[in-house]
Amino acid sequence: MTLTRAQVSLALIFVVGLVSQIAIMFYTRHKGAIYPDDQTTIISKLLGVYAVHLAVIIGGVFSQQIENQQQVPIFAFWFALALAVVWNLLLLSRSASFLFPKEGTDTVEEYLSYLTTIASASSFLVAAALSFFFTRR
Amino acid sequence: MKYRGNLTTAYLLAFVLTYFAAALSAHAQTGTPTQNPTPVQLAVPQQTANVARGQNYEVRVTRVVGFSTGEAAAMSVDFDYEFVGRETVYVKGIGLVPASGSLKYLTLDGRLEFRESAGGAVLATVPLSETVVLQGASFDIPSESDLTPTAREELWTGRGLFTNRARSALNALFPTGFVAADVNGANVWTTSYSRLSNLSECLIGEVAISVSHPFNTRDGMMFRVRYAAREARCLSPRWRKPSQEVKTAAENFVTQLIQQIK
Repeated sequence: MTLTRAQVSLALIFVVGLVSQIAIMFYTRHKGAIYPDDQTTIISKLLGVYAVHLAVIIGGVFSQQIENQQQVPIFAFWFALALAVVWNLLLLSRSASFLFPKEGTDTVEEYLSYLTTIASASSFLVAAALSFFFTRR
Repeated sequence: MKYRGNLTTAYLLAFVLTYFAAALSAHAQTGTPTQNPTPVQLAVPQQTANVARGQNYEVRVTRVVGFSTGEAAAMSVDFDYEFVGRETVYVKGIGLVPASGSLKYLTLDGRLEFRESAGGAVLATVPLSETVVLQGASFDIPSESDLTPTAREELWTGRGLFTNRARSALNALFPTGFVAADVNGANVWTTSYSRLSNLSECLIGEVAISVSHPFNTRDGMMFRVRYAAREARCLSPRWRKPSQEVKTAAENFVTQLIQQIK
């Protein structure tokens, strides 16, 4: 497993996680379950939650001049991949409840509160892995 | 000589006694200080909370529950009343009702007031005292600014008492009841919010009604209806100003209510 392939795999998980959640919010807005200003607030929050991790990823990608063929420890890669999936699922699982909007099941305020609490509390899961894979030279 | 002396003494004694008796009698008659008269106790009916009885009437309040309406404290009152020898009585805040029956509504006043007619003599008043205390109980009624600035004015063409018809129509659509208040001589009934139906998926709309009456014109008795509407979304439950869809649904609701009243 080369470093570049490991980076692409990890980056894809974060990008897919963010894009799918933004898509859910557009769908929810289209169904009339939330107001446009709520949609704006939620998307801003999601971007904020992903900002640090994506900044590390994007920074790592652009700092490389050529494809890095350096081999990475296979266990470290799979472990980092699993942690990245877990971290994204923690957020995505809650966002998915907005796919089936029903009165009394969830609210924008509760969802925002969840994002704030869980994202900050769980960021340790991926912080070390991302710095390991995206700051290597 | 001795006999004449005794007679003189007897006369003197009688004179003195007569004088004192007359003086005592005069004091007894004027003994009540005229400058500081004792307050006269008139035959005012005793004001017992939640009950009023007289020769030809009885009002018995069976239940008084305190509520907060956001702006003021209201009491939900439930009472039976009977005024013998009359066909109707005027209840302040409600209007003309049959002379006997039961009423249930919320009031901002601390008492019930029964009159002969709108401007007639007071027949009975009943001070209200809470019989049930509910902690944190509130009744969500719209404020004046939430209500539409213009009212729909309708002519009452129905038979019987307007209050009977209007109350039954409101109670059917708003089971939680309404707040009755006397505002500058008009009876204003303001309901809590009720859910609107037939809205888009995930759109939640509510409407509250304010009915005021009577407004007497040459054509007859008019009543006015205003409404307050609000909306939320199923995942954004904070109430907001109504969209056009909710406004239209609320106006249809008001039209149906007016038809039921008339």
